[in-house]
Amino acid sequence: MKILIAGEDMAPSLGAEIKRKADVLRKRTDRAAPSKISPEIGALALHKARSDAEYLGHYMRLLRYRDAYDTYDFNIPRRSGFLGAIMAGFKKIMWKLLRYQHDRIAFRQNLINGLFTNAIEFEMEERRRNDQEINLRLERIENLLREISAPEKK
Amino acid sequence: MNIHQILAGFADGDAISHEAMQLRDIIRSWGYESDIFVDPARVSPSLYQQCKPLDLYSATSEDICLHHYGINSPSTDLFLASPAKKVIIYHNITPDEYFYGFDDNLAAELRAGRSRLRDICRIADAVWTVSHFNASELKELGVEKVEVFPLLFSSWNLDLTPEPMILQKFTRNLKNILFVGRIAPNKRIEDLIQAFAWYNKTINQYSRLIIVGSNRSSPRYYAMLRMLAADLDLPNVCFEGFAAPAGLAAYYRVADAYVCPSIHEGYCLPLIEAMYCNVPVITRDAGGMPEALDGAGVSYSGLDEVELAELINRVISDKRLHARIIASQQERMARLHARQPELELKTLLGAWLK
Repeated sequence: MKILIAGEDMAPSLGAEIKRKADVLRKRTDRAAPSKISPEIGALALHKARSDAEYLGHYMRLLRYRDAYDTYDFNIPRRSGFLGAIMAGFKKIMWKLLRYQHDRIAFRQNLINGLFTNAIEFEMEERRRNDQEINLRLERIENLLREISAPEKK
Repeated sequence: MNIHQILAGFADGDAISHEAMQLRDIIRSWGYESDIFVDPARVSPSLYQQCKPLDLYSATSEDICLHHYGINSPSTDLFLASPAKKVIIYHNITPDEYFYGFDDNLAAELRAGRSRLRDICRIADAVWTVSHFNASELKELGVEKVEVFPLLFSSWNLDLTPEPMILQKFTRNLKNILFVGRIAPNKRIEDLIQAFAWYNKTINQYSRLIIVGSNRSSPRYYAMLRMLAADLDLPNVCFEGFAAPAGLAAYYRVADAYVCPSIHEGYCLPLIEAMYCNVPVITRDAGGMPEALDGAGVSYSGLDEVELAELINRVISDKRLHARIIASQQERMARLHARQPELELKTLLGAWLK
């Protein structure tokens, strides 16, 4: 670890303190790692792609996992103090009241998202088939040209 | 005698373009004719009046031609064919390895740019770089005589009245962590987003991350970042895109800290901009960034995302530390203001000037 503050090496003092506090944060299991998504299908899996084509393949796979948004509860931020508690309580009640409508809208939206993902996949499949066909035809034409030019050389 | 410059591209908000304009103004003030030549297809519409098309460039052996080199382009061939005395200004070329998968074509251009670097430097009559870091790269390639002419900084855009819409949008009671720069894979913005996730969810939920910069250079990387922010359930990550000059002034005005986790930079002008605006700067100890900081601000290495979140928290919330950082940055800016670029340029061009 290296931490320079205004040119001074602070790794032994500030660095050690930061490391200790970070360890405490990690150990708080109730709010541990901010991501609930496993690394295999996390966005950073796109780093594995080594070409544009690979990226597209990975991207479509990840999109498949994300075309529906979840309807889980989310953390409602809370300020400190009495007023903060009242406001947070109010927001929680509002969320409970609105949740039914929210889930209905989410269902419809997710349906549309799924259809869009399908459309992209169909499009990609169609393009792949076309490319294959064109490549085959090109190969046939090239073979034909070779056959035609071969006797001429003789 | 003319002293012209040739650039691969010319864009608003681009550090190389702004340096070229400053150099042109200095050279013109000496009484020489000086213009900037760029391929019209690579010019921002707002800068059409500031440059001339590449095919209008002509020179004699008496002239001097400065070429800003940061990527392979047809402008380099024109520079090499010029009969003028040739000066190459190396701004660094990002290694291609970061771009495969995100943009194979750009990766190939960067690779081509690096592979030509040594030959171009050998053909040039003088080689300048904007940082010692860049100079060391060239020396590793076997280029012997390299002069350092640090990237010029101008505060004209930061002295503008900040864009009121942006001030209104972001001056609520939230801590603003700012990143400014191109959205490109070498910037490692994903590290910052992950650190922000810890900061926002475990340290200060009243916070936001503002990411400012053009996303056109690597749209696929940008898509990955947006996906990551969604994965981490972070509605407070704001992708703002390219900022106009007054907008940039506003972003720096509302920022509580500027963080740059980039792993490869030739110099990094946004660090200087943040320091000018009295925003505490936290950067990775990589590339030319330590030189840009010159002993100011905060630089780190070997921190994971949780530790980086803690460091950001400390810089924002510890008033004594904050004051110390700002004082060091003000000293750095004073040193920068004391610089005499005209004199430096005159010394570098030396005997060629009549």
